[in-house]
Amino acid sequence: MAKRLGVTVVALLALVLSCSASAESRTVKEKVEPKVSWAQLNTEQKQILAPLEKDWETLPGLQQKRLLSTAKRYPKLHPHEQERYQARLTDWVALTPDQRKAARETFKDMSRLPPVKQHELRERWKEKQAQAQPQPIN
Amino acid sequence: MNEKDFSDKVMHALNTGLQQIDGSKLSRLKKARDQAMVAYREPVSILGLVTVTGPTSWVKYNLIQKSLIWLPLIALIAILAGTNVFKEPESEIGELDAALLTGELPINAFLDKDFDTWLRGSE
Repeated sequence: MAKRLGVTVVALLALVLSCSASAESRTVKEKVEPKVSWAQLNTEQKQILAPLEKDWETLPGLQQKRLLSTAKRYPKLHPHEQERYQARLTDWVALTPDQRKAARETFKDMSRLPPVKQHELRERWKEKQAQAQPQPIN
Repeated sequence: MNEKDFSDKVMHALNTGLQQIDGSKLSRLKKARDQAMVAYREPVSILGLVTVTGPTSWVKYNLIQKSLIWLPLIALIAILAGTNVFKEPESEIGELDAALLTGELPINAFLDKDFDTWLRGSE
């Protein structure tokens, strides 16, 4: 009985340690994601990510990779979405990683709501924005 | 027959049998009992976790000890929870980023405390 328990404990500890080591290597991998220079981008990528040309070299490799991933979707977007995309790029990269993560989480939570509720939230946001605008003087 | 009557009968039968055992068998039985008594130890508890008992040093695991066996498994789940295993894959992050960059609501809406409160209220 004691021997069997000992073997179980040792096996589980080994599993924990191997997973821990594996997790660490994944974290390290994220940190050392190779950077892509602006010059390495093709013409289309440069056009899509044009608002970031000045700051591109300062962005971490992982962020560059994610931006290039979003840029792949750009050609399929509607013109008004393409406009939004480029207008928001600089604000997006200016956020901290935690802020971007929080925004993703909130977006995901909202996406899980029924369309009616999502619409209500959008309307409520628009109302808030309208109230924040300075009122015209009569 | 109640329990006491039964035990009395058993005891009587054993005593009768005992008187009929010849000297050599009796001597062997006594020797075996003495050896067993020498080897016998009182159960020893170590820090209230493990109890060592019996002539062959059996280890008995109490409830706490048994629960400690699950610790590595709990640790494993905790580690996995904190690593990429439960994190969203890069492709999903790419989709989310693209949706945030092109969606109807501006990005700052998703960082706004009021908006977050409304969202929690809608869930």
